[in-house]
Amino acid sequence: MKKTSQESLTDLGRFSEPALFVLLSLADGPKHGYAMTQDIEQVTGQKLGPGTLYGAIARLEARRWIEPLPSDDRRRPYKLTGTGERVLRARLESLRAVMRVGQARLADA
Amino acid sequence: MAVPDQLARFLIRAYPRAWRIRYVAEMRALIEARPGSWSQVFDLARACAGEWVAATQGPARSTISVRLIEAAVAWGVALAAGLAVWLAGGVLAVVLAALFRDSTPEPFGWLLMGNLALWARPALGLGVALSSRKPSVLRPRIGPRELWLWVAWMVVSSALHQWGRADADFIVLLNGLWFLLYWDGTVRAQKLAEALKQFDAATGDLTEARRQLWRLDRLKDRGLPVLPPEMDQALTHEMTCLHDVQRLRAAVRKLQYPW
Repeated sequence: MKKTSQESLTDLGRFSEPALFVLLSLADGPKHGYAMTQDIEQVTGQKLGPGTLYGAIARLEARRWIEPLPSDDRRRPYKLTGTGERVLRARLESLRAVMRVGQARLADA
Repeated sequence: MAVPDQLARFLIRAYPRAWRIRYVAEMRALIEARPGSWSQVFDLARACAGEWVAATQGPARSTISVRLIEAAVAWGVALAAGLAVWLAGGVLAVVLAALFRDSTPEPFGWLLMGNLALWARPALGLGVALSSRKPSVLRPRIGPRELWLWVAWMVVSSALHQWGRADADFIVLLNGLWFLLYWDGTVRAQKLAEALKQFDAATGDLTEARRQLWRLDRLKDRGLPVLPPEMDQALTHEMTCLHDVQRLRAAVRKLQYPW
């Protein structure tokens, strides 16, 4: 199951990394686009362009990993769904495993 | 307003219509909140092109507008390729005329007389592409191999025509070859479309089941109902399996391009 979730995230092609950042950004609560870019820049040091950001948002929303919340403003906030959270957890677990292996190999070197 | 800001606003309007309707207000709000930059313009241009490509792929691309885009692209590529060969031939003719004055035709005559056949070919291509709107008669849409064959045919026939080595019979032969290939593709695509229809019918129930599971998952997001861990795990597993089925359906639909 976990493996398939990871594959689903990587299936987003060039949007897989921005999508991971968006899921990560929404992990601590709903945010709109601008807040997401600020948060992502602060956490990862990468500044997502509007095209890349909304390309990722559109794909995540299509998969129902995030969902929009009602808003009177033009800036619509998004929240993580249960499935999105599971996908994010699986992806982070995978990255953690990679990190462990990398650190162990560096320690041996 | 700075040039990057103006370009960014223009590029937002260039997105596919369905995409624009859904996200344009949010994107405008985001762009207004950030200072305009050329990297932002580049990002929007790349993403816009990507969304157009995505809009013409997958099962949702059966609208007439998408087919018109495909026809326009086929026409544009064919025209550009033919024109490039024609101009290159003209330039080469000038060079050859300078070197071998007696053995080549008057170079400016080639450029000025116009090549009606050159313009007729892309027009024919446009007609063929537009005719694909009739799925019962011709292929549902232009496939990549057909497009390449069409461009190759354009280049070869234009080159031959330019150098005066192609007589009318040869052009007719090439035309016949093109339509034979086209007809062959039509027959294959119709057989494939029938198989896809059966596949759709067989997996349609699974898609409906996945929709129901999504509803349950959304209810779970809102806290209702509270599922026991084993049921929650089973739900996740089922959704993943059905997601794979949906991916399989999408992959099979891509087979509508037989080559």
